[in-house]
Amino acid sequence: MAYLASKLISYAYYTAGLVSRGALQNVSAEQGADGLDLLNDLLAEKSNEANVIPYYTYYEFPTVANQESYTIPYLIDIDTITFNLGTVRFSLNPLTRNEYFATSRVDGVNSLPTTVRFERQPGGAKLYFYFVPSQVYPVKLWGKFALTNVTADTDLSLTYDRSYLVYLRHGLARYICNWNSISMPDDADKELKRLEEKLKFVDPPDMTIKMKSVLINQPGLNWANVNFPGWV
Amino acid sequence: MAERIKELPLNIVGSSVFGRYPKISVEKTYNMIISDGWLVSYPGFALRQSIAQNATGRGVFSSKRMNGFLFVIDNIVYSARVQHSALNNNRIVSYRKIGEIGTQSGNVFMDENEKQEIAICDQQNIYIYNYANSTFTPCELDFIPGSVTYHNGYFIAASLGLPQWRLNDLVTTTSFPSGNARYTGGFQTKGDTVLNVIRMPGNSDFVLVQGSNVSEIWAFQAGAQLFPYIKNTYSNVDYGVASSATVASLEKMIAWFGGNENSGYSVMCCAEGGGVQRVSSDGIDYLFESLRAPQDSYAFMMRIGGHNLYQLTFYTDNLTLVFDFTTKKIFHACDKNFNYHLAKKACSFDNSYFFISSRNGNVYEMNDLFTDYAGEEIQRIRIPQTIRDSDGELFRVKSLNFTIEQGVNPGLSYLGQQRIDLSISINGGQSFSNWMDVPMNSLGNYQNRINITQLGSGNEWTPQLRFQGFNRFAVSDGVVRISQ
Repeated sequence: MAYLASKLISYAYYTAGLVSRGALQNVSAEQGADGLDLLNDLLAEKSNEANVIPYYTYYEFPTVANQESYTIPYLIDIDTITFNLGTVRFSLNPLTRNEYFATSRVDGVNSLPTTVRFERQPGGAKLYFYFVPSQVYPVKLWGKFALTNVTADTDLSLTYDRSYLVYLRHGLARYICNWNSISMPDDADKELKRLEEKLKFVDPPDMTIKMKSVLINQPGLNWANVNFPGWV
Repeated sequence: MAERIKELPLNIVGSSVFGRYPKISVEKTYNMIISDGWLVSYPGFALRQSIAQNATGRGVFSSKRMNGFLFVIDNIVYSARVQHSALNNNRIVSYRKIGEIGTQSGNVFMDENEKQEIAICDQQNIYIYNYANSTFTPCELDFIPGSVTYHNGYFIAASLGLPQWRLNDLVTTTSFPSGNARYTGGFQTKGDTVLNVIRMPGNSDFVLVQGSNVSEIWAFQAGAQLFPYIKNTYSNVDYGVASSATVASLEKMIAWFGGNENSGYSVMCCAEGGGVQRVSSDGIDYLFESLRAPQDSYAFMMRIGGHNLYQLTFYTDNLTLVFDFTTKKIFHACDKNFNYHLAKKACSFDNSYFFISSRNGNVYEMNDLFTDYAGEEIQRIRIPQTIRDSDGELFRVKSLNFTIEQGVNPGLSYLGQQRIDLSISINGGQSFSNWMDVPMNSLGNYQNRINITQLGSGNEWTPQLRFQGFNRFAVSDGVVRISQ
């Protein structure tokens, strides 16, 4: 059954206690417009709060030969990322900003990428690969994507679980209360906090412990890397 | 920021409080009155006799000595008797025609003397009905009578268009001698004409002679050489009547709707001793100022359930107000379609009230035992005071609670179960929402608390309660929980 954004907005007003449910009142056009703006604000704000976006999404894109960075719309977090050379899947080693951008390396080396750097940017994220991909490789990632803007007629049931809509309703109710300079009803506020806590554990990031020795000998960059990039 | 919750009293038990504009007061009570701190139904009524549908009731008068009452429909005067049904003890009104008068419409005034005669004034002539010998005799008048009342042996008539009031001859009742100072009183205080004369209840020898701008108090003086009344020379009432049909008396009180040359219209209450009290507030005076035809009005008084009620109707302006002189409160009354109340004039007889209507030719019985208006649901509506917080901030209304008698009535509303309808206003009573139904308990379920939740928000909030059903209602004050 369709669950339109307009319905979510109305229900959020009811949850906030600002509009009476039933025959007495309807959400006015002005309230509906405010509610839609606030809903989109809420959805956008969730891009800063990836832990309450319960879904990891699979995303695949091809590299372009000799192109180091790639913009991925709405991407806010990655959990795993690999690329394929034929049927062989290669993992990529995510680096910190310092490791990627501030350590010694040879630029202009086009080969199989071994490291990747994820940087948030307006509207999504940018992925940087090193070595720079020398050809088209399909990159496959699992990550979290920002919630996209909606209109009043957007059927949210196509995008979100009902349980998540309950969370959004309470979250929007809080936005509406703030917008109207009134406190959130205590019961609704408690429910929102409970839902938030639950959401963090719906689809948590893979926290499997990986052992990484700090005692192994880390060779520096040598000419083999330059002459046989990616293969040594 | 934690939610701040307050409980505010809601005066469900209240009257119509008039404000110049809705923002000042939108408080209204329709067809209910206050009794012992509870809001209860206004007396209902039942059809007791249908004389003619396309006719007009003009006046009614009861006579204990005649053991019945007279009523006038169109130009016909009827005498009514009341019996009780052996089946259910309901009153049964039987009637017979006793005479015809010369006019078809307008107000009719009646009063009775000690000689088993009832004078009937249609503001064109006076007719004397003698119920001992069943004669109906028109008077020969040289003036146009405005009203008639009885006092100390005399029928007293206002002389319309003249500053005079006339007495009849004590021997020949139908005679109002002309050109004789012994039978003619003069209006003296202001240049005004006499519209009405009424005896002052509780003041045995006093009458109130009323013009359009002033009312004079006259005292009967037995044995006076010339005219048997002497004007009170140190006191008068500086207000006249807008319509003599609004003058009504009960116990020690006369009430009427009137004003004077310097004043707008108001309801006046003249109590014992001749002191007059103006029932006035900014709001109700504003209402009266806005009337299109204040002279198109009539009223009567009745004592029901210990309350002295003055029901005043402005039929052109389609408004009926009830002044409860016992609680000093004002209420609205209306019919099912929110038009003015059906009753025009009522009289007390056989421990009940009987009234005629200006809208049909029926006779109705009215008292507290009736909880509908001749088979139609009574529009019982209460709009309490608008709730505002002292800081003017937005608040949400979490719940409305009040106590109401439930489970004692088998009665059904027209939609089924007895119920309460609620609508709300969040703009100070300028407009109200749609209705929400709250069903009441069925017979035998006496739980009496009504709790309605989630009632919207605003920085002012006004509920409107409609009590639907064919049986009685008793409602107490309520509490509204708001939060910010």
